[in-house]
Amino acid sequence: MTLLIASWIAVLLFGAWCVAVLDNLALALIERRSAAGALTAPLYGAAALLRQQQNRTEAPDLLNWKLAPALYLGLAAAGVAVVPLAPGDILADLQAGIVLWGAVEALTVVVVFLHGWSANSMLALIGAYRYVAIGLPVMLLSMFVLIAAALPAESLAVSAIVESQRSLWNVVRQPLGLPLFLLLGLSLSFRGPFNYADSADLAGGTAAEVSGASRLLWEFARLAMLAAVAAMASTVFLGGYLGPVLPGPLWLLLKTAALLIVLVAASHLFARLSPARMLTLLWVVLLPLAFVDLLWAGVVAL
Amino acid sequence: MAMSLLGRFAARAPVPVFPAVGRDGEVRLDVLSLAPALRVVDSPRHASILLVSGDIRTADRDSLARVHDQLAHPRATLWWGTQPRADTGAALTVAAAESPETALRDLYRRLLTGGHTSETHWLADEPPNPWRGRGDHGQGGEGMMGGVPYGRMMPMPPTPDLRDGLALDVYTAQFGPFLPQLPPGLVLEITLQGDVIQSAAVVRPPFLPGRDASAPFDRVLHEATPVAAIERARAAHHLRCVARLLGILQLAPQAARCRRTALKIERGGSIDLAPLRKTLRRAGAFAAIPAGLGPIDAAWAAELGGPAARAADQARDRRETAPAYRNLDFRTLCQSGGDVRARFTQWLDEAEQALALARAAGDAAIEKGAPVETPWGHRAPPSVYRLTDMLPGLEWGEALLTIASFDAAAVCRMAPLGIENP
Amino acid sequence: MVFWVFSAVAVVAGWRVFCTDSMVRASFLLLVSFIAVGAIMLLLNAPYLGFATIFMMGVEMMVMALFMVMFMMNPAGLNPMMMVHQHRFSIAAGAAAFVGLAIAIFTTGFPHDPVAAGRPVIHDLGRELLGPSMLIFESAGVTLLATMVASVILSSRSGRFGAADEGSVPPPLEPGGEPAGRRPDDEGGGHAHHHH
Repeated sequence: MTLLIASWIAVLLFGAWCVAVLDNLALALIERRSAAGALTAPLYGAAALLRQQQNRTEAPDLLNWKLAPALYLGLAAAGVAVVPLAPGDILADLQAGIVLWGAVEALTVVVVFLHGWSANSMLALIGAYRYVAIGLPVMLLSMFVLIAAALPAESLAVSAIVESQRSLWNVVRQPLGLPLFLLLGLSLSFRGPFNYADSADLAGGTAAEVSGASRLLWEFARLAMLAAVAAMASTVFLGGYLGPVLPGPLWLLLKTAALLIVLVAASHLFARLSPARMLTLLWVVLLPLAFVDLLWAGVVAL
Repeated sequence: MAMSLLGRFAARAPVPVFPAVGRDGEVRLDVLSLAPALRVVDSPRHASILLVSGDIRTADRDSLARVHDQLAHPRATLWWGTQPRADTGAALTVAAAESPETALRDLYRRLLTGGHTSETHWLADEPPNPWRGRGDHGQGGEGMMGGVPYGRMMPMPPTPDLRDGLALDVYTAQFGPFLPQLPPGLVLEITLQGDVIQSAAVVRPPFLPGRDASAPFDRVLHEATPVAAIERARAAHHLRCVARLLGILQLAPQAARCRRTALKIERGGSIDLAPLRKTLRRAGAFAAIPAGLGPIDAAWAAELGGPAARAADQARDRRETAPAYRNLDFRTLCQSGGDVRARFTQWLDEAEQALALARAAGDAAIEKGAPVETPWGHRAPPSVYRLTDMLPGLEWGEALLTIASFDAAAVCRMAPLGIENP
Repeated sequence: MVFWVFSAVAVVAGWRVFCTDSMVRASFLLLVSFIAVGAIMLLLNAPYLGFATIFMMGVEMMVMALFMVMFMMNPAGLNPMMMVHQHRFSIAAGAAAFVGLAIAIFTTGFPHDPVAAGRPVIHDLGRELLGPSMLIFESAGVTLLATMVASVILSSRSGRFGAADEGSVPPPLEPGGEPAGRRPDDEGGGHAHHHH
């Protein structure tokens, strides 16, 4: 149990560091400059934020403002807790693990909204509203996809979903599922084409008014959330710890790392649509696709 | 001990700098932002050093003080090519011609290790508008919605149908002059419904592109200038404009690459723009700009001139008849849309063409004082077409894209001060 | 012990809903209350219902907060306002609901035996929901959806027969006073120009 808790914390810290390093590498690659110092840059950046004073805005909702980053990190941690590292090695072996993940997604929308709303600042507020508009349909989409993944297992437990992939991974069984779920990853940590909360046109959006340790916690939580999504995606669609020769946790690590590379690349390589067009794309194209995925899974399961 | 270790670690991070761009301070900031030891941030809350680049108008001094006071401690100010505020005591300055990179690094290290004391507030720490609420919850009076907090009407005024018929309450605020997403100097008073702009008015106009005797387009007024130098300067200008648009599209690394390319071009490097263009197309930069956003008609285009006019299918270019271009097989490039996407494409097309011309030109030169096609449009007078008429009904990001799709001269002419909307 | 903590959180958060001065805070306090109830369901060995409550309420409170801020005349819900109104009616309704629920609690026979450890509760719940209770379940769902669609249609300004607020006059600030804000007649063409 102690080992499980230690590995759980390690996944969050190491995962966030990995994403930060991958981010630096991707930026250097696209900008065509040298990537020197990419490994240590996240640590120095964190130290710089720790040395910075935490500021206050005029008449903020202080409780929610200070609480939001911690809650966001807590949600990422809860998401990681339902991922099995090896057969039987799972921090929270819940009968309804997938539904817990759904709750994590829903509460993330709430927490990000509160973060932007409580600063009592114009651009942060716009970021908060935009995120709700985009975050909710993306969450619906991922629900369809996750239910489809649970169908062959005939269970809502994550461990059962992994075991159901012994003969065939879900990514082959339901090819639409993984790409749609990865979109959720970009949306949950609002990156790149799905960055509607902390976007560049809003000068940082919900985080525009935050400095110091609060900002460090917020950015750390964003990175950890992406790592959590990658771990969940590799568990639900790529068979998690299943694989020949190598031990289970190593397989999970490799698959998660591969998905993280895809996610980080996608978050720097694509432009962001205006919210109205993204909303149309989500409701008119992607949600029906997710529904097709669910139908497909249902027909196959019958 | 732990504190000093943290400080030493922190000092190795890129210096977080918030730029307050004044007159003629933009291009050198674009160049500075490429330094790996710096990180130019979008919000003063994320910065430790306020870099004032270029002269600040008297009207902007209060805004500058407000931005300064938003920086988190420890903080400091560096004045780059401008006179510091009178009341700041021993202010740190760097000449316009020098790069402040080492000065910034040094200042940041001293800030973190206690060698430089953090600056105090420039303004009194009090809200700009005192709270005038009454009642149990400060709701301003009797009843559920209260009376008139902040002297504001609570019942919703009739609002034009801007998007989907769901009217939201309006919010009015001033944006600029240091908001990085707007042209430097421009202050707009914008009334928003959610993220949709209901109305906009110019409070302070942006800065005209400056005259710099060493820059090729001004040098040609005094001496014969090589065509290659002129065309390189044009390509660099256009790429910096493209970079600004890319930033709003959430393509920061691609924007940095454009700025880096612009710098290489200015320094005489031979660059092929095709790979950059391919990267942008694959990133969906063209598709992400909504079709038909920010359109201008023929008369409007004719008034603006320059690349904005050519993007609206007005094939007017001084280079067609200029003697220096006669042997270069110059052909005026045009787009048909006249919208943001067309102006974006036009900049890229013209930058590519300019580099080809620079390669072909050899040592051909433009005579002193000969008319030359500048990379921007006509510089004067104020236009009857107004930027503020384009913005209502646009979403915030689309409005920024529209503004960023015009060069500095065009924005200046379309956003003059003191003239009411017709 | 854990049960009592969650119960206290649920009750206190529910009470604070009526004391706060902002619609957004009220919505999320209600969410805290519901999350505590969801946690109690988890304690009662109803994992699906517990997580589903947290998950559904998260979405619902978010949407509710947003719609309230949109439809009420309060920028972003940060301007303070009084969250209670129609005092006499609400006290009566509250008392009636409390008495009704209390009677229901005392007259219902609750099972005393704890759920057996290996029992497939989620499986049983699914059988129940999509078996005998299907009609209630589905009709409730469809009714809620129809309500949402209808409320959006009713609150939209543009309708089949033209603008919904045509000829309407904003309410006065004092009883019997001048209508507040600009009147639609002053506008001419519906274009708001900014005057200094």
